[in-house]
Amino acid sequence: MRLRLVPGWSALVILALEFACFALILARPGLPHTFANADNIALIFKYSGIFGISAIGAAMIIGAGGIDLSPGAVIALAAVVTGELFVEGGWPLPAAMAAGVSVGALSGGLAALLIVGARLPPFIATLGVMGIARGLAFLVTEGRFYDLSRWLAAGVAPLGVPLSAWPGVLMVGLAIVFQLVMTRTALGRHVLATGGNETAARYAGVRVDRVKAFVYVAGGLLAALSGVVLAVVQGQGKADLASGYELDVIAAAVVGGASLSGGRASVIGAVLGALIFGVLRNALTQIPGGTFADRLILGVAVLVIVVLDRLASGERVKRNHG
Amino acid sequence: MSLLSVEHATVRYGATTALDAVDLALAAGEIHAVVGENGAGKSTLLRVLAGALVPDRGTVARAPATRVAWVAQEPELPPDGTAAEWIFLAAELRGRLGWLRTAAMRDAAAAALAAVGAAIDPSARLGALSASQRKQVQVARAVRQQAPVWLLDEPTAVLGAAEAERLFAVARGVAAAGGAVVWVSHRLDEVLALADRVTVLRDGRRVASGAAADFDAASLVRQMVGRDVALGARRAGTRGAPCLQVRGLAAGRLRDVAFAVRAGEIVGLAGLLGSGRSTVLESLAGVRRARIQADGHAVAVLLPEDRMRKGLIPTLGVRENLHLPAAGWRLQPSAERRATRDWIARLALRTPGVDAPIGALSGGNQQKVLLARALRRAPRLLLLDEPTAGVDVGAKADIHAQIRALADDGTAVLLASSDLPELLGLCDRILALYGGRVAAEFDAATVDEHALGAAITGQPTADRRQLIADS
Repeated sequence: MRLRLVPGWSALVILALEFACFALILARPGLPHTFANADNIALIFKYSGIFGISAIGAAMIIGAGGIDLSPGAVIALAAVVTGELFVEGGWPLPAAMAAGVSVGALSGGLAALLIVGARLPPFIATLGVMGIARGLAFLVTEGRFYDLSRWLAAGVAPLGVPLSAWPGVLMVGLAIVFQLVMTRTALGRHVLATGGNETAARYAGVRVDRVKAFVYVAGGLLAALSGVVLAVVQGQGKADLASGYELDVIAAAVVGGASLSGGRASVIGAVLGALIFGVLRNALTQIPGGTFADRLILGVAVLVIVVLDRLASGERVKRNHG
Repeated sequence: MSLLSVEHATVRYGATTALDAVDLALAAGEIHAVVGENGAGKSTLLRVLAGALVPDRGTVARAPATRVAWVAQEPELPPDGTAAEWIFLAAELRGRLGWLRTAAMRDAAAAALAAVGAAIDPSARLGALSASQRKQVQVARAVRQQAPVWLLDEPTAVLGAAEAERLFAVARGVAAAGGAVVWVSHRLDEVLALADRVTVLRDGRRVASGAAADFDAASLVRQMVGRDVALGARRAGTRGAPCLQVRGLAAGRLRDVAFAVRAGEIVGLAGLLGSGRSTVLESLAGVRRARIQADGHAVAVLLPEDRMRKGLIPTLGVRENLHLPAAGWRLQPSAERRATRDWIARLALRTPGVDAPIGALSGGNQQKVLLARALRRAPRLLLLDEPTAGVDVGAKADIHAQIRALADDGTAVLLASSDLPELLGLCDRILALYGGRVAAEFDAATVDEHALGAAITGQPTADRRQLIADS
């Protein structure tokens, strides 16, 4: 009955089935395939990367028994800080990007301070951080819109990788790194132990405050990196960017096997969750009227996937006791 | 005619048979004790009787209109609810318009709590109560339900002597009123004193059943484990250099606690509920804010009480629970697996596997995992808080043997327990906590249960026999 050999394993099955379904639906006999081709798959990775990078952080935070509502706002703030410094401030691009990413250390650090220091519930603390980050983004831009694409030479390929491939490359690379952190290091075990039973973890000698500080700072950095990538790769920088992304990011982590009651999460699963949504969004743009239905279908998909996953992994009702 | 009965009840969890064709009939007016080692199937039988679990085979028969009150062993009470809310949960008193009658419920809850002898404010947050007070709230809920049949799972495991006595009286009252009580317990003296009939389970089977008068402690143990077990042999004391020197400890109700523990010595902490036994240990272990003047507590490792709340990580497996906190930076899964197998052998730990979910183990074996977690760090000072609460005789003897062996190897042990015979059988010295300080200190070889009982209730001299013996 244990389908979920690795947490998030079922997300891979769903992703494969989903892709196969759309490949069949969107196939046009005698014409080249507009869905199942290399260019379109590259496009899916490009757009999923933004969610996927943030979802890695969300998976770790949820695994530690927390929640983060700030990624959407942090993405926007990091994007406009990068845009402002590069376009208006005349900073070199790498410096502007580093400044954008460091926004995440500040927002994550603030969340950690509120949660660990002031003992605020994560929901409230990150709701506050979300408001602050979004508000700062509006203050920085004063309604302006940065078009970074005009300033980027066409065909730039840092480290030999085309710009449009970077979101996907970063998503996959970081997923591997943080999957190893979560499954192969003491820190990763302590994250899941804290989420499983914080009191017991503390009694066992786990420094739960450090664990929580780690996940929120890492989550902030990953969200900010998403924002910088969004700004540079898609050439966008405006204050209302990524509105509502925080819930998509949480949904990706949950579809990928994270339990909102804490103690269970998979980084790889969260990235697969982001890809599941990316494939869905992409396919819907190719179906007439599909883009209008995309929020509805995404909402239903989250519910269906989580319910199916529960059934497949055979959540045990009976417990052997006594 | 029986109020409640099961015939040939069989329950399987995967490959494990938790109950194997068990019969039990509950007659009106009786207290029926169910005993057995951990994993023998006691709690499973109770679930079947409560109707919370449908057996794979067999039948459950209940006399018409017979309500059943079930006091589970370790329920998760909502920490932010109040005692009154829990007592009335799903049976709230409502006015004509459907509004809750809060004041009436609070008064009735106070009466139910008083009936079980609990000094608990009905408006108290459940999370602020101790394990024993939460147990009393559960029993008060059963009182309020006025059900003729009571199912009590290890009700006294977390209770002090006085609270337990009070519960005996409540149970006798239920039986005297024509009801019936199923009493699951590891405390055999209590079973023999209280029960009319006894059923012994071993490995899911009923191996004996009969009038309590036909059994004694030795015969019960023999039936439970299928062999003879030596209970609590005393140890020849060996003492080394001072390991822990507490000059002044103040936390919670504790004002000025001072004592010392030597290497190789087992020192007991006796005290009533709320006397601060756990506070002393938790302060020394650094998991609780306290003002401490002491030497040597930096090396302490704590095995906490209340294993569900303070001990186990339910989402992790046996190996991962045992290796917490994980050492070093990188995990070493194969070394951990080897070490876990060694601990399983050393502690006679019964588990379906090295990486089995912790919830698949019985209470005594979960406790052994937590003991292994503490011992793995090879502490020079070991702090044990109720190490055998809710643990069967076999596992209890195993755990006691481990504690003795550790002390013989030079570990200093500080042991808090509400089980006075355990303290007397295991310790070299016993400290009695009363009024926020160490009120008396005893050589365990010369003190008896009554003198100790007097000291923890604040009596200057012995002769409070009734408190322990019969109240």
